[in-house]
Amino acid sequence: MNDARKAGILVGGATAIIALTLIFNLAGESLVSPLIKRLERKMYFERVISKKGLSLHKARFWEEVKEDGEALELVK
Amino acid sequence: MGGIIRCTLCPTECELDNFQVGGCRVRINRDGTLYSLVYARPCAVHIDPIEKKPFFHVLPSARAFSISTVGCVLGCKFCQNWQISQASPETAEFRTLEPDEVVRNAIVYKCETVTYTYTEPTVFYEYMYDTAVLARRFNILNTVHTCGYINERPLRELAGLLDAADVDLKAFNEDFYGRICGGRLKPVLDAIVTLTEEGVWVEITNLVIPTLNDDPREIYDMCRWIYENAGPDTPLHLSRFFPYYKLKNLPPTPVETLLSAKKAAMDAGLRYVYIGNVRSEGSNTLCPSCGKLLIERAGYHVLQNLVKNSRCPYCHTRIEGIWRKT
Repeated sequence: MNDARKAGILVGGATAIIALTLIFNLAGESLVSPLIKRLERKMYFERVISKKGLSLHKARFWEEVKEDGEALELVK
Repeated sequence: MGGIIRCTLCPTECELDNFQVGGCRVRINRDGTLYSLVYARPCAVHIDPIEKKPFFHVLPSARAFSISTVGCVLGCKFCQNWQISQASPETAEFRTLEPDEVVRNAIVYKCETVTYTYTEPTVFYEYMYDTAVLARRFNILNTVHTCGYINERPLRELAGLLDAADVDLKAFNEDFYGRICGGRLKPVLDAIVTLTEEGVWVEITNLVIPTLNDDPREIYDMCRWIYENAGPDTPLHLSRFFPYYKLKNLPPTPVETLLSAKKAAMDAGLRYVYIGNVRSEGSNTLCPSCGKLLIERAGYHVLQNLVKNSRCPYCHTRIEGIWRKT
């Protein structure tokens, strides 16, 4: 591998890292954060809440929500 | 799987993503289904005199089998039970007590009522409902001390099982509810109307807090509303505030303020106005017609009860409430 090729790989790699960093900084909050938060909640439930001997009794008054915020149905 | 769901139990109507817990701390969306974490998991189980709830027109001196789980639909800065109302179920101590065990214990300990109290019973709705079904089957009264922050549909379903409700009407303005309690006044007023319509015996408690809700004009307006919507025979308990939780900067309510609030309530037409958290004659029941002493109390204890067949023994005026047949 000659020097030009090495320099090309270096520049390409650096560009990719800079681009990824920019994307993460600009959009990472909205893309990754909900996933991380959901994972954190699930881990907290499995490691803490479910270990305490609490009940998981089906609640009575609630409804599913569509993405546009409209309620789907009342589930009892 | 695991979409967003909306809890429709209380007016807050939390929208919960998967594995998210509601503002009450005790309801969780797990894979698209809402669950209660506290069913049959009370953190407080006590036998109290019913006067402690406070109920002054319901079976005087009855023993109330009182239960509560952690959690609350509001976040009042003056909460007297904040250690449990603002706790999460996974961090609090609790015991397992199924509805049939609650009723069995109430019978064994000669309690005439099961009371859902201490925190906001709405958060353990299913537990309360199932217990109330059993209690009624064994002729035990179901009584609740609530902030009234519950949607109409669940309240109407529950009301069919309730005998009496003591509703905390914390103030008579939306600003107080928003700033101090994290809720709204309107749903509470609606709940009082619903309970009255459903034939539940209603008593109202108002904690009088210096500078925040002690304006006699506002108390008068509140009492006029009670008069017009729940009736003049609705007992009103004006309770003394003590510095607590997030309102330690305020002094205890001066007794003069309570007396002035009582005068405003009587001027508004209410017939039974009591002063609570103060040892005084203000906790006695007087006949609204002849003014004679009917029930003498000292703190939570009944010293004498002269009400006979729901009537004043002197002038035979009917005293509204739930009384023992004598």
